[in-house]
Amino acid sequence: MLTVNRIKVPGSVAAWIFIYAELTEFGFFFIAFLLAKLYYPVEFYQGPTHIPIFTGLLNTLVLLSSSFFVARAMQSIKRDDKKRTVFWLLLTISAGLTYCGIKTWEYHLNEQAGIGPRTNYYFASYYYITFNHLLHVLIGTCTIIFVTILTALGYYNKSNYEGLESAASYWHMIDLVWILIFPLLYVLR
Amino acid sequence: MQTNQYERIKRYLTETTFNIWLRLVGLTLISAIIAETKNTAVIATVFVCAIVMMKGHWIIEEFMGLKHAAPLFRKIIKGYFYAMTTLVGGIVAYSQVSFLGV
Repeated sequence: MLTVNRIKVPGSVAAWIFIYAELTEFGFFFIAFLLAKLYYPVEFYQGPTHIPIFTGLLNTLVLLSSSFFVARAMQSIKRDDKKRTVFWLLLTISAGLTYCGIKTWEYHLNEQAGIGPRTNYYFASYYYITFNHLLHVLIGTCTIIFVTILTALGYYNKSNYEGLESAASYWHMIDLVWILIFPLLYVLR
Repeated sequence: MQTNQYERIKRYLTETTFNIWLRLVGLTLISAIIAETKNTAVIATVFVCAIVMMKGHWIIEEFMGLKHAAPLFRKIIKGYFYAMTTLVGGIVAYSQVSFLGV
């Protein structure tokens, strides 16, 4: 008789392959950024002093909180507490939207200061990485909205939550990438 | 009644997920303070990278729930994160020493 040994991983293996692909994409961005930094050290040294650190800090706190909300949603579904799961997922969606709002504000402040993607190589890299991350946050938020609707409709319960867990893992990946982006673009010179 | 309330708050504050979140927020604030001081010494870079590694470790193990997952999945993501942070720290420190002389 054929026995199937399930790989113990949060969510589905397919979702994890997707997560690794996304991480590889960001890995290339980071390597490109670092290579450009070696070629243009002065531009990359001065760059972070021109962008507002407080918006980067706020977004870091928002994303860390959103990861906490998702983790609590997973704990709730494992207890079969659907109401609380939906509550934590709604908080995650709010955090995702707040992130997008703060990022738009940051771009607006940059624009007011006369900074754009064509200002220099540092800002070209900064816009490329942060805008790409923003798109991932938008995709992640849409995914969380989708799984929230499914949870509210009673699709997930304590014995069936693989889809929800896959979406949660994707969201954590977005947070993990931002943890590297924040020091790379805003803190380290 | 008040004791029950106190116990509830105490239980919530000592709960692992909340505790990890508090630590992550604390480390983020330390990074922001370093950024505000505009310190460009190599030691500050090493310190910030150590903070990033700690934050990544907690997110991968506790929030993602990979602590008890298949070792290969955990090793790939941790290996990626530690390698990337080391690369970032190494190149930033090299740039600070070689080009900027700080």
